[in-house]
Amino acid sequence: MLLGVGWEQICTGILVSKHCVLKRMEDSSKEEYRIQSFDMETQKLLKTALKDPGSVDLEKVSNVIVDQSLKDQVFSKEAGRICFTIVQAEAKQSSSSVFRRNLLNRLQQEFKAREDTRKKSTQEWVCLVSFICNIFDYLKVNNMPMMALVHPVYDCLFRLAQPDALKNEEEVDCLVLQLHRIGEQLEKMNLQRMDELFCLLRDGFLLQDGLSSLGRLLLLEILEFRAGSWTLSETAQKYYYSEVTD
Amino acid sequence: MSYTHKYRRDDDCKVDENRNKGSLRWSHCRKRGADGSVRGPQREAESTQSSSKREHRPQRPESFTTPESEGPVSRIRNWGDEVEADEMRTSVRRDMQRYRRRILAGEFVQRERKTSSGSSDSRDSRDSPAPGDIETDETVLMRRQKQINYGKNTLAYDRYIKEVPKHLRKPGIHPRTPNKFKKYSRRSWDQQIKLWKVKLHAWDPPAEEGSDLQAVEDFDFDMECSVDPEIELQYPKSTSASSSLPQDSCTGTPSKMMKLDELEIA
Repeated sequence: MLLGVGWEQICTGILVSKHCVLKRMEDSSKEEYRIQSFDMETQKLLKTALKDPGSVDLEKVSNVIVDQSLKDQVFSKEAGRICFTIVQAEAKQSSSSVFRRNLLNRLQQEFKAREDTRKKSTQEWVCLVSFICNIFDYLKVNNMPMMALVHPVYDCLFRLAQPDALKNEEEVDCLVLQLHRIGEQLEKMNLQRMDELFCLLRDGFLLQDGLSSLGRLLLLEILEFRAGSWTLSETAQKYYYSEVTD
Repeated sequence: MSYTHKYRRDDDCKVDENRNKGSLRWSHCRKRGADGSVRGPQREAESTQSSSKREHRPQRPESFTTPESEGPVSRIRNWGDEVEADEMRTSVRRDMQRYRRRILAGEFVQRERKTSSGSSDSRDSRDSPAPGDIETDETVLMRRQKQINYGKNTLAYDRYIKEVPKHLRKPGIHPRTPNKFKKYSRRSWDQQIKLWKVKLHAWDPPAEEGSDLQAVEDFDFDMECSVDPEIELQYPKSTSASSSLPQDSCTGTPSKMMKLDELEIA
């Protein structure tokens, strides 16, 4: 995996000249971590955080990342990666977890204010959900997902499964994306809530007016996806994805 | 006769079991919930209801309702703390599995107790306890792990492990991390940690000329009584503490310290 290769290169920096290592990081990290949307100064800050976390203000770094995630849809879907790398780097360098703590507490604040965020801007709300789910996906602790995030993630998904949200294609799209990515893991952590969520989705699909046809299709696909143990059968794959969309 | 006990707090209701049946069962218990509303026999306590869905730790409800709060208040303070506690818990569990496997694999030397000297410690850390006889209480283990972490997150420890690989360690001279899985009293454990950390100070980065490491080699840990004045300077802490030995040493120890430990073990 590209991530692993990049990290090993940092560790064996003695063998490769520092300049080369940096150059390689420069080229790959932009693409890998999707930080193209940040301004140059911030990009520099992030790159330094990845290599030498002790030398930067980690609280600032975590705020920068969260702020951007709420604005940038592309970044919100992949921000977990850069966060994980910084967490690892900090743990290795100084056995501390300042960055993770700051990140999580800031995330918690945003989570608490999610209803207001949703009222203010659907896009920001959707970005928030993507970001939280992405963090859940990448930031593993001792190779296990963070227990503390299980219920908050479910809360977000439940909100997206409410009638008013299902009318919104943007929100349905977000919902199914998250379920595709982390549904299986979430289900392992708490089966009961997943069952409840899917009851809502089934009801939404069958009973609700105001669903767009795309919305309906997305829901049907996710229902089938889970029914097939988080994978699509070949025929289902053909049914949903073989036609080219306009 | 059996009845399902819905309330966590109302243990005092059990007394009324015989006299009251049906809707009058709870009449002698708290009639009102914390929010003031009258409780019926069917309704579950608000806190258990709101938390029952969310509970994944059956022993403690995740939220509770107090008269001052408006509604259920989460027990979780913040995600940062929660994840750190989580991390420690999973680390401790993983350590425990590893330790259990090691015991069962017989990796530890069984020390023979033929020479039953009065001062020999029955809890020698090189003895392997029976697999069932280890500390399993998570609260205790986590507290101990935290104390160990404080000791390990020091420059001294870093320097120590870089300098002395495990297989080159000499008992008595080289500090050894107390084994959190062995059964010890609270005081005994705290004392072991203290002694261990004091010993680690020998590897503190040199603040002045005259390396601390030099002092370690010269300093005779078997010394019970008088303290070398030169050492006195480098060990500003109480001299008796620095010259005492950990429990796994076979040589003599200051009798005062030893008695204290023996008392605790007894």
